Amino acid sequence: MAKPNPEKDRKRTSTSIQLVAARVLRDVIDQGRSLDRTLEAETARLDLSLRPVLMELAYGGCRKYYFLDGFLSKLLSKPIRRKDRMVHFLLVVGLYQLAYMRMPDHAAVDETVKALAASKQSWARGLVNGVLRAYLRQRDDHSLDKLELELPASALVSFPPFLFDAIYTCWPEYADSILKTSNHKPPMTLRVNQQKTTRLDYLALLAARSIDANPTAESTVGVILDNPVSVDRVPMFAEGWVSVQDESAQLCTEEMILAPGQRVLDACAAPGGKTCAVLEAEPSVKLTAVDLPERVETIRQNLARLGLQAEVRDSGLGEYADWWDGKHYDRILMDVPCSGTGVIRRHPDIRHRRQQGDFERFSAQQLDLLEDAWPMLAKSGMLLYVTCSIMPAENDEVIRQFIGRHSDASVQQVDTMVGINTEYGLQRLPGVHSGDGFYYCRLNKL
Amino acid sequence: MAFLDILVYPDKRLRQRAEPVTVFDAELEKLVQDMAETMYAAPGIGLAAIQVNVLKRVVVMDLSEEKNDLKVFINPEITPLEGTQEFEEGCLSVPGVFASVERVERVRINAMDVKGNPFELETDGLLSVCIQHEVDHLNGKVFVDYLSRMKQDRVRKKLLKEQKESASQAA
Repeated sequence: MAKPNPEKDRKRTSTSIQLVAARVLRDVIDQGRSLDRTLEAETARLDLSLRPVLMELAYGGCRKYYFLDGFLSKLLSKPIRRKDRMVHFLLVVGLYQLAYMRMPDHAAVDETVKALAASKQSWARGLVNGVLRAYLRQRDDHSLDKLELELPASALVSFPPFLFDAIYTCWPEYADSILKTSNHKPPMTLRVNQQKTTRLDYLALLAARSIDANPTAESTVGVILDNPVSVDRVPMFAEGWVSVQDESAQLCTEEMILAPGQRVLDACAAPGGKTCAVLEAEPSVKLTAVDLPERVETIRQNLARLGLQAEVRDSGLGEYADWWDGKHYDRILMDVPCSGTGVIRRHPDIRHRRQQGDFERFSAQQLDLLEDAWPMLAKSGMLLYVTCSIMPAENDEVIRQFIGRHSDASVQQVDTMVGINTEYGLQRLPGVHSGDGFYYCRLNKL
Repeated sequence: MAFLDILVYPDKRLRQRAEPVTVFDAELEKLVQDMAETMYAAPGIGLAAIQVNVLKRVVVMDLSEEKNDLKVFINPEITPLEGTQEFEEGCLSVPGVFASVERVERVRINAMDVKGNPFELETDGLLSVCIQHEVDHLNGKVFVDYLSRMKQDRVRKKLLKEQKESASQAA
């Protein structure tokens, strides 16, 4: 067999970024793949200089998809056939460029049409040209505003109808802020490693490097950068002075009321952000971090970078016969897998990957994990249950069921931070409180 | 060592079926070495003995960039396992032509090394594509056969024309 076609490789390097973006959107939206993982695979093959544009198109396209899709359905006389989904996603990319990117109109249209040729779909040139130009025409004569009024409310904030309804049902008075903030680009927040430096010193270091930043309002170790930068441009990151972590997540440590020498279990530890936060706050605790084998590597990497010590176990929580030494823990941190509805601004693909019924599925898993961990908690010990979900089904509802089954479990009010006091715990909502949407509940063992 | 001449499509000799190797001797080792040399010079990533007009079931292959990972398959047998994949294939016997061919994604290969020791491996990706391409050769089949009649005609005419031109230049 001959070597793979060099001619084709050349073509691939000049590949249309619009086409790559459309492919990423298709993989995420139609096939439910993770945005970050899809992007990782695509950017590996891509010229470095093109990566920021791809990130913008892919993240932005995910964020604005339901809105642009709504427009698209109004601009098309009949929907695009199921087998031509790439044309559909290229149109979404084209519209995104016209609506949100600083790019001359003609370039946005031309590049999209060229992308068709690169994907061997030149038959759709007339269609794509027509739709994008219709958009421009209607934008310029302001009939677009009228069109916008015809879109359903969920499309206006670019959410799938079921998730839009769920958020409105759960948080009627806050839904507008939640949805709006979920569409914003999130700030980049750092957690300063108190074992290596102080927030004051680190802020001075950032100032010296002309990186504009401010301390977080509630977390005593947080710093918010005015403009996100990649971690290799964050001073002393490799040396373990700071980690990237949202403010709401940072607040977990204070909730736990740590004391020197306590035995602490981080029961769903990967990627280790909160594990490390605990150790930075109270390095003398004996911490065991457990997560599934395919996930623990990142915990080890984070511990090593930050210069912290913990016992890392790669096992299911339920298989504690395999790893638990039988000594009870004074504190258990349970940052359970969840729908991620509180962090949609960080992971815009979550809105595409959730379906009706997911909340119930997650809550069943969350309850199982709580059941697994509870026997390992010492008497008068405390378990902190955490999710980055804003859905009561995964939060208060899980706790309600759990304490109904366990007479030795009592809820202790979360009082160290700002938030909405729910029946059992405390809820922080994106756009209402600072940081991502998180839920916390403290369970004491009697 | 020697560079061998590679038969060019639509040469009828590419249509023959190769015979299993029964004798593992120095002659076989020399054939493998010459084939490897010929493949590296082409440059190619795989070569079947039939392409150098030797009717034996011998395949050499090297998929590495550094050309330091020569694989030898004597009497290879393929068992299709699962999936399909498309890859833009080219062939040293069909110079300058590249076309997408659908193959099985995952296959099991049973073959022998140059000493006659049998081995087995399961693979996907380029190795899977390449071994399917080469075993086709051993059975008298060329990747062009998977293309439409029209494309086959075009390839045949293009190559015949090129051969004629190079012949007249030589004369």
